Amino acid sequence: MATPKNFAGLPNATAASLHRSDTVDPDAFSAIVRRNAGRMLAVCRRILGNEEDARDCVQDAFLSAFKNLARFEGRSTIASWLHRIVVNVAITRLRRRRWFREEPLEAASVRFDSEGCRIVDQAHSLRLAEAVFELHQRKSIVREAILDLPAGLRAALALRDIEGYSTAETADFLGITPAAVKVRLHRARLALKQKLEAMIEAGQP
Amino acid sequence: MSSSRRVLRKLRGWMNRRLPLLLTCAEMDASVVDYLEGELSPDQRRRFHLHTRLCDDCRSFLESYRATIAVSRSAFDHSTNELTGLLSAEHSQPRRHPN
Ligand SMILES: [Zn+2]
Repeated sequence: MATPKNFAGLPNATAASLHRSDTVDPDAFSAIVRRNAGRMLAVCRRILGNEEDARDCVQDAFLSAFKNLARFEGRSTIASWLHRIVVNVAITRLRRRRWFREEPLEAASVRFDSEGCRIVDQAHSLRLAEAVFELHQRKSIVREAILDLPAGLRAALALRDIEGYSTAETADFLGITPAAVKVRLHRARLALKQKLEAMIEAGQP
Repeated sequence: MSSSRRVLRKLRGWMNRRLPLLLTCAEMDASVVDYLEGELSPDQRRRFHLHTRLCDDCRSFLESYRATIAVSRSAFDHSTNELTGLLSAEHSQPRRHPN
């Protein structure tokens, strides 16, 4: 392992500044941990839906980052480099769960008649769009609905819609094709939409 | 659902499947991800727009679908730094490291 350097002044340090001195400054690394742990934990929670696994992943990610610090090339910020590492750790953990690949991925709410026409539950149509303002205020309810999605769907939605990775990047993380990402993404959005509509219907938000 | 509504839907479905420029709702649905990713060809995009202009159900579906994305994006806005520091204490004593 090449010697990690002092990286005070991050998150925008470049490779050049990382390689300036020759010893690891534990205080500097703690500063990085403090600055990034919350966001990384949040990412892991979204992907894994489980607090304990999420914490383990963040620890693993920091260990991995520490070991691989020499490979940080400064092409991105430290924050986005760590973000990628922790997403990879979380996805690896997710894939270890037996049901990750096996869970049924049927489309949740869309149904069409024999002519390919949308069969719409009139009670639901438009209510969601109208309730957007309220849903923006009631974030915890939306978060719960997202965490409640099946893991394989949630991962696609978390990476693409929440973390803002591209479809290609999401495909890389998940080890599936971009086309498969789109299928999961669509199903995840439909499932979430259905959950939110059911909550609105029940007068929850 | 009323029977006149069902008849109208049937009629619309019949037209959508037979007229060359029209999409069925199922086809619209199948291309909604590509539409939002900006990956439809200009021609496919025109058909998509035409369908949503003609079909109330798909128009409201698209609105709710977009709302779902926007809402999930904003749901985690303020949760990022709430637990900063929580891990710095644990970091010095990792519990386990797989493999
Ligand atoms: Zn339609």
